[in-house]
Amino acid sequence: MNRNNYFAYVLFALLLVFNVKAQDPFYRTYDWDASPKITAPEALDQSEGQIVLKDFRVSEYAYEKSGDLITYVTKHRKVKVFSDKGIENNNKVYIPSSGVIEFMQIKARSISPSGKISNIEKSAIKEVDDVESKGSYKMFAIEGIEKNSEIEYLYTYKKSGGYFGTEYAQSALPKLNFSYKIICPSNLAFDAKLYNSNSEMKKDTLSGNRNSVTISLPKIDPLKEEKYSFYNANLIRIEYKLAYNSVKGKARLLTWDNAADRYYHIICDFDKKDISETNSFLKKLKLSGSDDLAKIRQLENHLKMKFETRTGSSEENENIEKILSTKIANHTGITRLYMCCFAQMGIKAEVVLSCDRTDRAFDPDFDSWDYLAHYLIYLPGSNTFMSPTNIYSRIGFVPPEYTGQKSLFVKEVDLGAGEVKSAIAKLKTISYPEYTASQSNMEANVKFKDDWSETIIALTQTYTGYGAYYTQPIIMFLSDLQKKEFQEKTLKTIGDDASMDKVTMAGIAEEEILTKPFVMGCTLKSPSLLEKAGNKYLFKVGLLIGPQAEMYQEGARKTPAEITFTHSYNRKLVITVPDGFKVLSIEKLKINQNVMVDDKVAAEFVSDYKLTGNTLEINVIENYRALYYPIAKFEDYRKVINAAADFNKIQLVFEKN
Amino acid sequence: MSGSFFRYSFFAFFCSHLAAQDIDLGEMRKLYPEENALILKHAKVYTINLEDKKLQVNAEGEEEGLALNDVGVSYINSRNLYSSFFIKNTILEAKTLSRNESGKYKTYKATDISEKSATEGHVFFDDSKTTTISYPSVTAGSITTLKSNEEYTDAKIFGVFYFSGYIPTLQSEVTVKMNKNVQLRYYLKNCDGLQLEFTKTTKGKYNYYTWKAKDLAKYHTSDMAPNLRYFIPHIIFFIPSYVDHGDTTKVLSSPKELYSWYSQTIKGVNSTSSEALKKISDSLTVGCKSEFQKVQKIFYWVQDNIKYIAFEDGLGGLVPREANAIYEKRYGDCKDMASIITQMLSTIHVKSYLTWIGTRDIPYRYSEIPTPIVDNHMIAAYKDSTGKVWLLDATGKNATMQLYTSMIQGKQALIGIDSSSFELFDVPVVSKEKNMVYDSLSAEIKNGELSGNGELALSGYPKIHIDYLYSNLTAEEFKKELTETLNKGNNTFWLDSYDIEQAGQREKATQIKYKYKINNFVKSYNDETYFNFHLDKKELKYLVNDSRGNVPIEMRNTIHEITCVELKLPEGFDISFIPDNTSYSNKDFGFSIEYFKSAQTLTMKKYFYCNKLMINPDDFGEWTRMLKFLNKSYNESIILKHK
Repeated sequence: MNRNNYFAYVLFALLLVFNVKAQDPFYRTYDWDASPKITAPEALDQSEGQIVLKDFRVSEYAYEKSGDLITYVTKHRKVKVFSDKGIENNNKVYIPSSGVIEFMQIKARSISPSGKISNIEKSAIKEVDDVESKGSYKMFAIEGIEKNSEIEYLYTYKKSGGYFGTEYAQSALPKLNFSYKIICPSNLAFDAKLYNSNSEMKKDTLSGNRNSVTISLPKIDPLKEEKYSFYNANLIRIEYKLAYNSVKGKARLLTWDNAADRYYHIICDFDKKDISETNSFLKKLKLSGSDDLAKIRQLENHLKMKFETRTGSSEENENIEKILSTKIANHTGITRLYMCCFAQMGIKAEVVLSCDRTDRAFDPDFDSWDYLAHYLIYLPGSNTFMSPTNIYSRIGFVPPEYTGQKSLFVKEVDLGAGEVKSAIAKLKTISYPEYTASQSNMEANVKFKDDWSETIIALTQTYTGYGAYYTQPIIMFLSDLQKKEFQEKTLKTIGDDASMDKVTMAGIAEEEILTKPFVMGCTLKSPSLLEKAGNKYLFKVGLLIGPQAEMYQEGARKTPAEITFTHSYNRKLVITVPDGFKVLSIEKLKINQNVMVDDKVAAEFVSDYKLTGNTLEINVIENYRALYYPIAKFEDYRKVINAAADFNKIQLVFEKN
Repeated sequence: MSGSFFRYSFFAFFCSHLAAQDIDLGEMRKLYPEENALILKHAKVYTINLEDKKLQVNAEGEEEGLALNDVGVSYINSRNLYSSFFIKNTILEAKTLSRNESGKYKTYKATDISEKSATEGHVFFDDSKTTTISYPSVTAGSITTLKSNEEYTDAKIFGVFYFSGYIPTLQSEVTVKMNKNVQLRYYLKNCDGLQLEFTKTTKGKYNYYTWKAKDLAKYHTSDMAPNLRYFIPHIIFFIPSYVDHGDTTKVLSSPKELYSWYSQTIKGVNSTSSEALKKISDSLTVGCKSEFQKVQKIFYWVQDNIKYIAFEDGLGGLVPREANAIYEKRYGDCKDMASIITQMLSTIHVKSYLTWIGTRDIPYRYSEIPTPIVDNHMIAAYKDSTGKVWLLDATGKNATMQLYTSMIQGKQALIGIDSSSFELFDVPVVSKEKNMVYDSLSAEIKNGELSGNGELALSGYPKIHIDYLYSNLTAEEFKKELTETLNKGNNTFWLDSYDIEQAGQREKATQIKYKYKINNFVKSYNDETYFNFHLDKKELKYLVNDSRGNVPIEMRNTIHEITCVELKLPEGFDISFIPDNTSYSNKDFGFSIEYFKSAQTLTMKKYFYCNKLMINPDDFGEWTRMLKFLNKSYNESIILKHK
């Protein structure tokens, strides 16, 4: 059985209800204003060139004659545009249609400032399939728009399921009259939770014996992007889930435990053929590692280098036998293969389900399965995590967006011989490596050409952990020319005019990925790190550490600072002072700035120097030890960031003795 | 040399034995140690038939790719085929010759085939489709193959063949199999360095023209690179005429036939004007003193009021839509804008012309290649009473009549005069003097901080760019953008305030008055202060990197930039050192740097210019010399000494 069908089947059985009387769906009773009035622009926020006047959404659940539960999704949106930008942003409408069974209605119009209405004809609505793998869309252009026009559209489509969901209420635009409503038959009850807002959801019983949950926000301020902050995770949003079905009793539905059990069966049910094929695959692989961890690394390298992992559901790509033959798996399939391998190797492993906290943080207190978006595997033997699906990640360094938050661990429950195996949920934190595990280090030995025309730098850059995560695994996939471009971009941070020579790269072999440091070295010659001023020379020593952004904060900070992974930079700059010269203004090299959270150093920038004979050694340490910096500490955090930017601008003066 | 001979003979051997079993993977890896994958064969056979006075064109393509290692698998494990209204592409055969651990090959048919809508950045709706083939069981050493067939709805659309790819190609081959009564013309582009083997043979009722090339280097592209068509080897075919029962029929022998076809496609478009269109045209031009003024009014109205939304829907990709409908909808693509301009002018009895043109992405001329491959754009043209041609491209916003869009500079336009006559017109490159950027600022030093007032004046394309940002961004976004544009000194550059004048006023230079400060920029030691006048060095971005290879640098427009920095001398200081004035110039590019001293101030004036749109590899030597010389000047500071 296709795993997804299995999934659907279980849900179907769970929701099946008999003798339900058909209701007239809500969307048939709802319409836009037949003679719309234009809203006067004067009182409106025009700063963005557009304002959302209405954002009305309804998800209505209903039973089909067959007993299937379906959802009618209705959206009604009205935007007023004030500028060219407003027009350009709103004259094209895209309605995602992936998973849609049927569109019940689509209508759209513009209302000009003089009240002229231009309706979109049905024939003007186009459809595209899966453009750039972003799914299918209905799309149309709105006609007759001028400045101060209003653009309005209303549509309803039918889709199956929808037992969990997320609705983002806030965006970068000002918005009025937001409302989201869930309507469902009386035997069902949905739970919903509002994030990043103090407002409350309202539960109600509607006519026709239907239940509803509603959130209405008359005004939502726009949220602007802030540096060191995860935009989506900070937006006002609603998570909802189907929580009860009175036909099935009073127990809560679709709990974390149910999820654990379900995913356990999806991933860890292996038949004889799966096991025998996996064994023969492992036999051929001849894993020779000295311990389990070494074997796991070997297996992971093999599967990530020789198998292709895709998104999407497909029975073929979840069948272990097929996967081993075609070398193509989907996310579920590859996780199954890993777990089957571990089972055969006698290595304890648990499936973990998590989500990207830069989009929305996992909430252990609200059991929406939408949080269960990505597979990880926990290996209790080494107390490490691995990502079966991300080919650039390696054990110990899973995609950092999943770390540092509670997630769902699928804990197997062994009921003894002969019993059907099952699993329960454990909500535990996915730990993340210490900042010392993710380093970006630099050693630069600096000399000056005798005629002071060039600075010559012997440079070594060393990266470990998440410092190497985004580059080290990719190097081998680059062509020779791309490698050259990469080297130029990574090593020539002191300016476009530098020339680069004797480039070396180490730690780029398959088995070295995220186990050995990624090391790049070169000799750089730069004409512009030195400036001449009469008979003195100014050396821009600060530029050696690469560009460091100055961070300004205009207005009050709205969101806390958050980073994807903890990390550190250790730089050692050794400068040979030419014979007959002395170096001036070195005391500026001393900087010490930190931010304390809970009485502990959460981030710091420290630079210092030592002058011995004609050798000036500068040590620059910068590290970010915490993932999260509360708003109250934001100013201190900013000072650490700006300390690096200040160092960046330090110049040394060389003068003849 | 022996090495290259070996390589050549090896390929000759290899290519005649394309059975997978014969591949010496070890040898291939030795020959291409830096590569992950190779294209073994890239071939196409065009067949042109003539039946019942109708030309039929189809092309069978063949591709074979080899993964040299695990990494190479991702280069060859999927392929895309593109189909549009004009070319229908179908798969004939797709398979993997999968290599197992012991070096044996097994064939798997590719069955995972999906179709998606294709899209291009600027097009809103496109009816084109991309078919993606995902190959099974691809391992290191495996080969994936594809045989496909292209059906052309019109023989005028055929054909272009690119010899090289993004990985090295061992064998590239194109054949045109033509009914003997059909003529062929071709045009080789960027093939100078290529050893092309050409043969012509005759068999039965067909002529066979074949071009073969071996061991083709992969292409790569770079920052500021022009379109690939400018530097990768390719061949363009077209059919000038055919003979049927003794009668010669011209197809595309000269721009004349091309225009006659174009003229057919637009026949019937805009046969009437709606009352609304007449009314707006009249009301816009009421009180205009000259025809030129009327044209200007209508052109500007279309620029301002018709938004760009493109639909590539069947023939809609080729034929302009009705002006009456465009007026109601208030949007359209380039053709639609040309359509509404010409029709609005027609309602007030001013003649103007639909005009076909290619953007700078396409390096061909109608006079060389009289086929639709030359263009991808449509504009309107107007001739004033002196016969001067004015190009009206309303896809560019905030532009004067004098300043057509940057993307058509240097191109050849085909102006449709009436149903049978046309003119070719060479669009000049807009001279550098029209693209003025004049940034003049005062600077004062206080405790290491630099601050002052600036005045930036822009005309030509730089003006259009900033005006576009001004009208299309929110105030907050524009300030951010302006901060980046003006950025000087270091990244503490702070724009205190700004005032923008004449943005959106087409005929006037845009002026931005601003107040700025830069922290941590001026360095002092003991009784000396060092100050570098070169607050921005943006020209250094044009330096030619080692990885650039032979990829030209394409400029957005010609450059004429003047920067003046006037430093107020701090109280109690004297100038103890001023760098020398420097300059470098030739007819195409150069700079000058001069210092001027007065009692209270020292002023630096920098001028940088570039008269070309494309810096070609031939120019790289001199270009680099100029930039290095400029950079040397950038590294010199003045010294201020305490009295």
